[in-house]
Amino acid sequence: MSVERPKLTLGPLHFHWPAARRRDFYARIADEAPVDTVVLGEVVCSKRAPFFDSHIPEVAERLRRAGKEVVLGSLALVMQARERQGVMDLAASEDFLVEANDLTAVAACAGRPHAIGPLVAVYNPSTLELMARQGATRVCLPGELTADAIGALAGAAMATGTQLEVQAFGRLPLAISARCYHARAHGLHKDGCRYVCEKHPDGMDLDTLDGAPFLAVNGVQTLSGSYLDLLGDLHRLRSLGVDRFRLSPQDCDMVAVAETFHAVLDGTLPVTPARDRLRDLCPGRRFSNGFLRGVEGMAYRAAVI
Amino acid sequence: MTASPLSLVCPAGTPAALDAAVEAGADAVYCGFADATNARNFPGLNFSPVEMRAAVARTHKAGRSLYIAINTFPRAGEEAAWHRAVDNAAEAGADAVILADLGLLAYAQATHPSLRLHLSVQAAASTPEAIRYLAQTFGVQRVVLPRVLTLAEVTELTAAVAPVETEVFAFGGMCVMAEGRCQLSSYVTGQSPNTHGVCSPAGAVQFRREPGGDVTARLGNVTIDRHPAGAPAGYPTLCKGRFRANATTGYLFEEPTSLNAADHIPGLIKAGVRALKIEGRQRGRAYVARVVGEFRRAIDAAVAGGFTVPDLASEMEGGRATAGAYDRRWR
Amino acid sequence: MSLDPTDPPPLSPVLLAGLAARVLPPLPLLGRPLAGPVAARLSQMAFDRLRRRHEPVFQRLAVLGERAFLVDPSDLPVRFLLRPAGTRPGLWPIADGSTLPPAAATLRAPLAALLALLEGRVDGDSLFFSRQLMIEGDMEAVLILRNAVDGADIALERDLAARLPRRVLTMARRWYGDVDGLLHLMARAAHQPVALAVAEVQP
Repeated sequence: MSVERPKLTLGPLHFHWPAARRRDFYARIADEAPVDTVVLGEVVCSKRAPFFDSHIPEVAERLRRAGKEVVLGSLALVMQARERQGVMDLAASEDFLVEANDLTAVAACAGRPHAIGPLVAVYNPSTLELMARQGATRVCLPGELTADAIGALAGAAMATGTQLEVQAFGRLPLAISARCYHARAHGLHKDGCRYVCEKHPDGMDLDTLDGAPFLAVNGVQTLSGSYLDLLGDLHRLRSLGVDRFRLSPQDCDMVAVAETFHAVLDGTLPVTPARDRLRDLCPGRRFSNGFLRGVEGMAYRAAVI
Repeated sequence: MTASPLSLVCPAGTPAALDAAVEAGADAVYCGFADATNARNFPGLNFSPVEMRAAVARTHKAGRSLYIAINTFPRAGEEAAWHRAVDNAAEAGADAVILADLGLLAYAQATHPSLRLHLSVQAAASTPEAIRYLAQTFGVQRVVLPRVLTLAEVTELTAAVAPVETEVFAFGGMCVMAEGRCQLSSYVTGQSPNTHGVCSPAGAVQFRREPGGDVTARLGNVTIDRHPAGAPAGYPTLCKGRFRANATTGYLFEEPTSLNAADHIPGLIKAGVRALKIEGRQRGRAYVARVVGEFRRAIDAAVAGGFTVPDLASEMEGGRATAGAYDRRWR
Repeated sequence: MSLDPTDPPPLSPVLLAGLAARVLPPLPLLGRPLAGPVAARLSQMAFDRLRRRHEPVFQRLAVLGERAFLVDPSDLPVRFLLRPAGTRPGLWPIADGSTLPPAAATLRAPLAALLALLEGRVDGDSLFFSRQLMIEGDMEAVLILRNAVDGADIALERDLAARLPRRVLTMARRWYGDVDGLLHLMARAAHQPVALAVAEVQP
């Protein structure tokens, strides 16, 4: 385990927020949020990218001036020629570390330093070691891994000098599709979607027939209905060898969320009041941590001491 | 065996289904070992190493090929089980192994350099760049394409990756989410399709007849469908369940339906696709015999210049077919 | 009605119901778990024969332990309790109206469909998709049973059509007529096209 202070990463914004709101969001993150790294870029739907791509240099510059590391995330599902070109252009970037979110980007980034995102299947030490040999310096693991698996992967990460990252807050990305379920639920086709996903800045709630909240639809992406909360597990994960924790942006006060995680990692705030604070910051939301415990991801179980 | 331009690759979950597939005209049959190393890890299904050796012998005697799917992602700390499966496949004399995990591809290449490697759909390689990289890095000779591509995209991709062969799904159950990248089932059941080899594990599925006569399907603690007792059904998977969103109730991801790309056989031959894959290692031998037989006839007819589309509605989820992503409108 | 086993009529649910009614006692005895002694004996005999002929299948089914199935031919006035493994494996008929013993899962379909499933002539998922097969309870047990049976080469005509022991026949003939013929007939009838029989019971 490295002695360095664990770092916080603000993951890519999954939702389709208007450009002005995104700019304001990142300006406040730059000025106030105690995060070390910010991942920028549209990872969910290539149709949304033109709305914000032109703002990325300016936003990245602002974050860097505030001392944050900026990473550019690649598209999760790459099919069309224009999307492939986008990945190639991104991977050629001289200025930023690129986070690969599919095998197209993994291929394009091979041979130079890069990061691997949680949407790439890294489930075991052999695969992690292979990624490291191909130039990965940082790997954010898939959300469904158990603590035991993370522990085994941490060994390989340490042996190869790879930084290991685990998502600790926010909706979990559970699936990606060629179809747009936001458009479908609005009686529209993907080609003529009218960007209806903009209506739901935290995802469109999807409930069961019994009315129980279940999932969240975000265009072609399906997310967990619950927010992941690993506040009670940070120290244990840290001792297993996890170097970084990822906070996934939601429609709530992300500066306060980052402060809460930072305070727990620093040891200045105990877990119990931190948990209460997190619930106050996200009224009406349910929380989960089941994957880490090897049970259903949607469950919330008390931490194993 | 005649050199059909399109190889028919067929599923077998039991030795009996394998014999049915060979009998019905499969060019190749794919099977898995009876454990979590393959993506159809259902109770009572699949082959022991001894059964697999016998299956290879029978298949070869008939002049056909046998592929072994080891297409889940090895669980950290338990990789030995997946390595053993690759070793057993090589020892059994399999014509190819179908792999998804990059670390396992590296193992197979290093340990069994003469073993032919196919890339499973679970690996989610959807572009020429990804496929060329995998071919260069691991010597992958064939790639099973994700069910997210249109016929035009399949055509372009096949040309771009040659001499790497492409194989596409033609019939059967259809993931509507990108394969190998879906954690919906494990979010509800705690068992990951990616590492346990089963979506909607049987132990987590419950059908309950309600007092009013409706049938409720539950996965874990989640109600995923409710319908009148006689209504057509699909597998109890989350992506084909009914939910509520945006003030509507219905199949928000996909109706119970199966893929049938028989219509596209002439187009797929023209595209240079090397193999057509039938889904369904979990299905009975009656399904295998029927579907394989129909596709054998359809391919032979298409090669000969004539063509008829087989009627296989009774074998489909919800009794309904979709051409999936081959038809762009599906997206 | 002729019971000549050399000339079986097409499988008809009505006919089969009639046959079953002949094998079973005229009135179900409420509270008694099992139907008539001859039906019980015949069921057990059929089960034992299958078990002898298809040992590997039953080895695969050993993982079921004591889990039992309620097999419910929807067109017959009788159900069966099937326990493929465990300490007391067997097949027992249960007359309608009797108390149902505990079972891990229930399988309900027209008899013709159940027999076709047993012989691997129809795919269980296809029957399920079209709702001809209803399943409740322990899905894992159902899949273990379905996959083991589908992988076997069960052929009822061949497997069951051997002569019955004289003692059973004598007893059965006295009470119910030509039981051996009945068994032959049911075995032969099971080979009629399933789609035909299924179509007959659809509304």
